[in-house]
Amino acid sequence: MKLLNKNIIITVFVFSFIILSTFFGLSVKAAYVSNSLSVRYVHNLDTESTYETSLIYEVDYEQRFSKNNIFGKIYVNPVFKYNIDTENEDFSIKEGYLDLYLPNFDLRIGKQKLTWGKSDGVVVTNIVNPRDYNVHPVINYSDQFQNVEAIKANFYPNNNNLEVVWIPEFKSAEMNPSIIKSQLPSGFAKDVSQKEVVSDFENSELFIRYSSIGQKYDYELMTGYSWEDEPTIHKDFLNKKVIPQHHRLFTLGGGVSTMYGPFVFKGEGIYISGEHYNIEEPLLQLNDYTEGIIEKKEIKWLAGLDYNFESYLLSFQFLQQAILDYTDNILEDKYRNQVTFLIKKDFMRSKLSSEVAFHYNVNEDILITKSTVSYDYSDQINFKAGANINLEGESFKNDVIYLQTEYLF
Amino acid sequence: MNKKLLTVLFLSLLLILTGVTTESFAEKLSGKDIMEKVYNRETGEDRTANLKMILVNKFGDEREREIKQFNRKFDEVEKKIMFFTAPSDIRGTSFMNWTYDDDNEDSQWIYLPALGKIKRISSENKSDYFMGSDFTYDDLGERNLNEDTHKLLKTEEIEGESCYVVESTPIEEDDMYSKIITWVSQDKWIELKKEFYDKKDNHLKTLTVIEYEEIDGIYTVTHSKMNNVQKEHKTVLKLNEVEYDKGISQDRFTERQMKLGF
Repeated sequence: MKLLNKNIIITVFVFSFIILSTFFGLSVKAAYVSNSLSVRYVHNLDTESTYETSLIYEVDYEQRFSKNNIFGKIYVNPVFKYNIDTENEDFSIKEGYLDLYLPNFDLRIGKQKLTWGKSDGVVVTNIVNPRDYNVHPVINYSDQFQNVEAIKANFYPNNNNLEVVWIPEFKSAEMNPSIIKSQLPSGFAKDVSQKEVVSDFENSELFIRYSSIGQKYDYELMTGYSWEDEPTIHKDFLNKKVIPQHHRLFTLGGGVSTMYGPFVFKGEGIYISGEHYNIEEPLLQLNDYTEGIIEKKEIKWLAGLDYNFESYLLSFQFLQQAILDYTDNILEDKYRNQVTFLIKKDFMRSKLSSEVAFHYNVNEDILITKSTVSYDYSDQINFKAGANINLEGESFKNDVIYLQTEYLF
Repeated sequence: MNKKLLTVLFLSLLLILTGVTTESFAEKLSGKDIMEKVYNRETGEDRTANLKMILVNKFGDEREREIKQFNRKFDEVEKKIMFFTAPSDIRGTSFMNWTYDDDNEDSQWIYLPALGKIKRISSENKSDYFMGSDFTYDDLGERNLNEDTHKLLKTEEIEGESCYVVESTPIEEDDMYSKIITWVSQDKWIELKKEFYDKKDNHLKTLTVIEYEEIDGIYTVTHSKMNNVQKEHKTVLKLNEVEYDKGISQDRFTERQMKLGF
């Protein structure tokens, strides 16, 4: 209901703008509208049943305007999804914002997506938008984040970019109920009776990034005062309850990329203060009550390499998370390592493109592969097929194959 | 009277000799001299243009790509930025290239709206085809004179225009072409036709200029066609709204512009 209200507000805002602009003499440029209609079939290999058959209608609407050397843009991206199997309908505004462009300053107000960092497919400094673990396994990695209502200001000293993002209302990661259920300790019930982060100014989030591109290398520096996207599970051992709670985080990080011949090197790192971890079940002594958690600092870093070889793109990344001042009672490993590998190639003058991505969680010995083939029959019609398969180790089973046809008009 | 006669004779002789010298100079232009004139001809400080690429496969199926392009030569670097405006699935994508006068590799970046970030990419992909067209990244850029040796083969007329025919052979052995033969207009120093040969010295593709115009005093190819004879695929390239020397600033070639569009 809350989501629907926000969507109505954005829609009303856009139409109000169009009407008001006529009265206030804004020079409104031609609008750009693009429509996409997709039919998608997903088959779950684990249950050997249909995961989803859906119809998705998406609109890109863009309206540019100007007045007295101030330029601006309104952008709205509504999506309507109809699940043919369950007959469920879902309407959402993916992005909806107002842009103002001044000579050396830009402002964006509204629901938006921000992508930070140099890595691909894994999170290091890209922490502005919270994750959505509920989303469909088919969609692209970049769509696996929730867009947030925010105010973003950009300044451009010496043609570099200083970005300040203020998120008035904290938005938590959307957790997959099946995963949460599987992680609950036996005999414990989940207690969500209290709202964890009250919506007020003190609980808002602030992120700042400075970035630069240049001849030899590109770099970016970032800092954030935010909340944990994924709640820490506090345990009430007396009442056998778990209470998800978010904690304040302070982050400081950066990234760099440079090129040498056919290689592009990428590096990224972040220091996180305020992270909480679950610990082994403590002895029930009331004066030593810990709720089963401990606060620590963490460092996360990534090194990656893209290699272009005869129209193939090979991409390799290594990611490590390290808990500082580690104690043995922490349930997580001190070092958690991940490796990603991607092979990508286009055929038939980019009409046919294919990619295979591997994601290996070293600590848990889980190997997941995602393969995609897409074919542009014309500029309007596109076919896509793919498979997401868990090749090694045990994790939340979600092996699927899918087919999708998209019509653009 | 004798003095006048001598003056007339002297001037006549001078004119004849000048003509002979000019003729001799024209005949003595080497392949490198000709390509140098092409390379150094007036092309303005900066240029803005709309490009339309029509990709045609051997069955006659067409795909279109529309691009807004800005480029400018600064002190020791030439900067180019392209904004893809159609079709809708690539709209919002932008590509930026900086080429340096010295031996430094080009710097290249791409912005993909779906990812929402700017990625540095390798500029070693010069032999890759640009957006599925028959033009490689190298074909679309300005090939450095010293990358090839140049030999004048003959003179020939194309559509009534006298041309020098120059064969350029890449110095580096791993170049994607074994040679390029270029027809250069003798008075305008623009390339009217180019034949590209693959590594095995087989004819690969031909670039034909269909139309050119003088815009702001600069000869500009506005309509051309690249025909890949091996793949039976061709690309028609049309330029319109071409403008020169509008004073494009450094601000145009930045991270901000890549994300915002033009």
